[in-house]
Amino acid sequence: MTLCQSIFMELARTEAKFFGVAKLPLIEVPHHPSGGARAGEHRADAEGAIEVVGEKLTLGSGRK
Amino acid sequence: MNLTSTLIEVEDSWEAVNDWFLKEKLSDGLPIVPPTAERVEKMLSATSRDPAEVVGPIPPKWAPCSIEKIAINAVMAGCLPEYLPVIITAVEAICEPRFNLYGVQATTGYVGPALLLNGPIRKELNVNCDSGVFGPGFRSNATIGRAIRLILITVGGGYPGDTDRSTFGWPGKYTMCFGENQEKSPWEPYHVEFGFKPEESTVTVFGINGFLPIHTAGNRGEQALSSLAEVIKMHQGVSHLDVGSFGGGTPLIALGIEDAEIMARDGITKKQVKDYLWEHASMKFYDIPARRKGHKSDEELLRESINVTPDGVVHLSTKPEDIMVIVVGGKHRHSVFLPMWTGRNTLCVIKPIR
Repeated sequence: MTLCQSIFMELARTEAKFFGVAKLPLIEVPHHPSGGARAGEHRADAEGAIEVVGEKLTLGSGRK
Repeated sequence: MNLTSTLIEVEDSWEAVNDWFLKEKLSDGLPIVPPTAERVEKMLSATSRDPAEVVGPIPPKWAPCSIEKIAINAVMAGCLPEYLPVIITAVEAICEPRFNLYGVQATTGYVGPALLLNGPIRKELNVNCDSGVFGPGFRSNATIGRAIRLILITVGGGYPGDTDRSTFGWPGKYTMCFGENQEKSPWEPYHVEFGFKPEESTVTVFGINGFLPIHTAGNRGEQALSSLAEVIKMHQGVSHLDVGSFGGGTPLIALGIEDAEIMARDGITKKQVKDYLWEHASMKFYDIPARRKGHKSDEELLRESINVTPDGVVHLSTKPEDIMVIVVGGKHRHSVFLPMWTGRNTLCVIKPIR
C-alpha cells in the first residue's frame, strides 16, 4: 500500500505497473498548492487517509 | 551485429515513422531520424562496448539502458557515430545516485540534465564553446543533448503530463550540451580543477532548472563579481522559502569570457570567485520578511534548512567549493547563473570519456 499525493497518482500507477504490482493499493492524498494549505487541511487529509488505509487493510470489512 | 531490440515494422515513409513514435509517446515532439537496424549498427561501430551491456536503469520506468538503446536514441536524435562515447558517458553520469535522476525525471520542478564538455573532445566533435554556446546552430551540441532527452523519454518513460510531472517543463529539456571555452579562459579548465589532466576529455552533468542572464557592470573585477552576487541573491531570495530547501547543491555560474578576463586581470582567482559569491550572494535569514516565509515559524524553517549558518546566513551552497564556475561564450559583458533544481536535490557528476 502506498500513500500518494494526487498530483503524483499517474506516476505512482505507472511505476507500480513497471514494477509488476499494478494492483498495488494507492491511497490518494489531496494536493494543495505547495506550502499554501490552510491551517488544519493537512490534518484533515491525514485523517481521511487513515480511514481509507483501514478499509484497504481490512479489505473493506472493517468499515461495514 | 546481433541487435536485440524489437523490430517495429511501419509504412516505409519518414512521415509514417514519425507518426508512430509520436503516437507511442516515444518522441520529444521534434521529427526523429528513423532508427533502422543499419543506422543503429553504424552508430554502434563508434564504440567497442558490447551492445547488450547495461549502463543503468532509467527512472521512473527503471528500464535497463543498454549500449544498444543508447545508440538507437542517438540515431533518433540525429547524432554522428563519433558522438556516441560522449552520450554513453553522460548516461553513466546521470545514473549516479548523487544526480538523483528519479527526482529529476518526476518532479513538478522544471529541471533537465545539462552536459558540460571539457578537453580535446570539444574540438574533435566541433562542440560550440564560444559565441552562442547555449545554441542554436551546432550539430554536436544540439544532438548530443537531445539524445539524452530521448533516452529519458523512451527508456525511462519520463513523458510530460504522465510520469514527468513538471509544472512547466523548460526549453532546456529539449537539449542542453555545451563546451567550456578553455582557450579563452584565464583560469585552469573546469575538469582540471577536479583532478583530470588537460588532455583528458570529460562530461559533467548538471540538473539545471533555469537560465538567469546577468549583464555585469563596472570596470573592476570586484564590481563584476558584485553584479553577479546581487542578481543571484535576488533569484535565491524568491525560491522555496516556505519549504526550507533554499541554497545547497552545486549551482553553476557560467562566466562570459570578458567577465572572467576582467576578474583575472585584477588578480581574482577562480577560488576567490567562489568565495566571494558564497559570502555575498547570500541572505540574512532574519532579514527576510515574514510574508515570504509562508506559514512556518522561523524555528521550523531553520530546522529544515541545511544551508543556514548558526548566525542565520543563507548561502548559495553548503560550502564555497560547491559553487561551480566555468568560462563560456563569446565577447561582451554577459554571464549566466544556472540554478540547480531546489538546491540539494541534485548534485553535478563528472566522468571521463573513454
